[in-house]
Amino acid sequence: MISADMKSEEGDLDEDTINNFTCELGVLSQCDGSATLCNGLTAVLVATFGPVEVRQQRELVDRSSIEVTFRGPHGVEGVEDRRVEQLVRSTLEQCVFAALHPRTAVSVVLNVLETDDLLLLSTCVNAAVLALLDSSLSMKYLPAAVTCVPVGDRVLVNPLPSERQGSSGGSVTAVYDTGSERLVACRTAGQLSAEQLTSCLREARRAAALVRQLYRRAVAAKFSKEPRDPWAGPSRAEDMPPSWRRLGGQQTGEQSTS
Amino acid sequence: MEVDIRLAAERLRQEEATRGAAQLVTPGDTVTGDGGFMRGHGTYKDGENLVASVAGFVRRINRLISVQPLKARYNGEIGDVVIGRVIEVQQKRWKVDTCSRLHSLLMLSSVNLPGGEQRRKTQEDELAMRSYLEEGDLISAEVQNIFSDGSLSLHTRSLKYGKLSQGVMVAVPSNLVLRRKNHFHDLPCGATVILGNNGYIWICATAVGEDGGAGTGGYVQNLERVPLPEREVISRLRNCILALAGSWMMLYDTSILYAFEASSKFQARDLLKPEVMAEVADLTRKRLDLEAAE
Repeated sequence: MISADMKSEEGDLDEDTINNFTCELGVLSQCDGSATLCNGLTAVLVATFGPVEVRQQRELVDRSSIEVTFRGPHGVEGVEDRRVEQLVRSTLEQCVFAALHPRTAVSVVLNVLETDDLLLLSTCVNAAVLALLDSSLSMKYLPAAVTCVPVGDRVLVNPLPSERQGSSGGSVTAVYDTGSERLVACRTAGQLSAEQLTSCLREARRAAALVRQLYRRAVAAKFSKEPRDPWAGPSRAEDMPPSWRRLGGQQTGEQSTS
Repeated sequence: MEVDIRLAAERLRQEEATRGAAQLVTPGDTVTGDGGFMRGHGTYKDGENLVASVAGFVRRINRLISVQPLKARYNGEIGDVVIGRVIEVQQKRWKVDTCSRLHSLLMLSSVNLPGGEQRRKTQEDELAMRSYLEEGDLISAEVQNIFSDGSLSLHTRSLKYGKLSQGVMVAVPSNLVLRRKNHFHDLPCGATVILGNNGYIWICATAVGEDGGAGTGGYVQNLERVPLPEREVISRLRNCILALAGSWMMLYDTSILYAFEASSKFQARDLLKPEVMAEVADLTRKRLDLEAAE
């Protein structure tokens, strides 16, 4: 399990910035990739399958069809759930190499364990990205979502409900490409002035870099579990296939970049 | 019956293994800006830069750079032995799930008839398909061909392939199964193991006497009750395989056998605990390294 206390890592961000993120990859055994992400009071569990066989109606001949299913914490499914699905799907469609796997489907299932509505959208996007990282699907870049709330003349990033006192009700959820720092998706709620919007987007871009660090640490933790390189092959000569032995031992060799 | 419940925070934490010079990248990381390298799997070209598209370690072999992830869906090669589960019965073919990107197909013309007779399949055979293989049945087969869209065409034309019964199937990542000449192993402990290249592994009791079970193409099924000692051997083998897979060790007959012998000091049900699994894998690895050093 990886938790990141963002406050202690970045000194120049405001005090009331990013809460504790806790995430874990590979929590479910039967799916290709899975992840749990807890952000403040919001917790989301995501399972992903893919690329898998696709139904006839959803089949796309030149790319993989990305299907997102959102299960809210309670109640019957409604229009709001579809909005979350639409945002996650449009983000993933941009960053996943769908053209590599035509006529297949990538299925992402989001299950909300706990929610405090405000951070739900960004947690869903981040958790979906973590689950796709776990499943080793090819992606162009890693998108990171952050929610910003302007309070007075400050901007709070991923605030807890207690910290949001005094806000006018507006909020911005922005998804950034952490590599090129370009905006991938943006959704606002409530009323915001133009200055508030631009300052929120600016803070979100800075915070997205921290989310990127979280992704890297989660992946590093997952890879550290393997004590031996599985592609090194068998160590005994008798267990190697005959073609390997002719090449004089281990075929691929451990020529890693230095 | 004792139940083991643990908090996630108290789980066994492996110390960070030193990876040496290997470089861990995530999608979007630039692997190299030098344009002289060839692009391998797991990378794409963005202008002059080679950028990673999966999370994994960078492997450089001469001028080829690739990024290899921990696991991927099974990519079939012609001649692979696979174990699959029948998903659907269609006209003149079965759809089989082999943990690959698309379902594999087992054509009616690629199966053996009872008794091993060779003849053209008639309309009656088509209608009788369900009596041989239904949805949910497990089969062992070999990859005969690859269709243009990447799906596999299987065949069970030898008597050693066919429907499987009375055993346990274990699913592991497909890249952990070593490619060998023989994938059917009769272990000395009394179990038969079929290591499918697609990561599905089948464990059953070794059929005593010839012409029983494994050698009849699956038409003759031995549905007698498997005795308790053999069941214990099968359960222990299954847990050993999961222990090896959990530590990302390659699976082949020798490593499974060594793991089985290393696990004899534990009870079969204790082999499901993470620290016991790590220990069994560790002992197996040490024994394999020791033999390699000789």
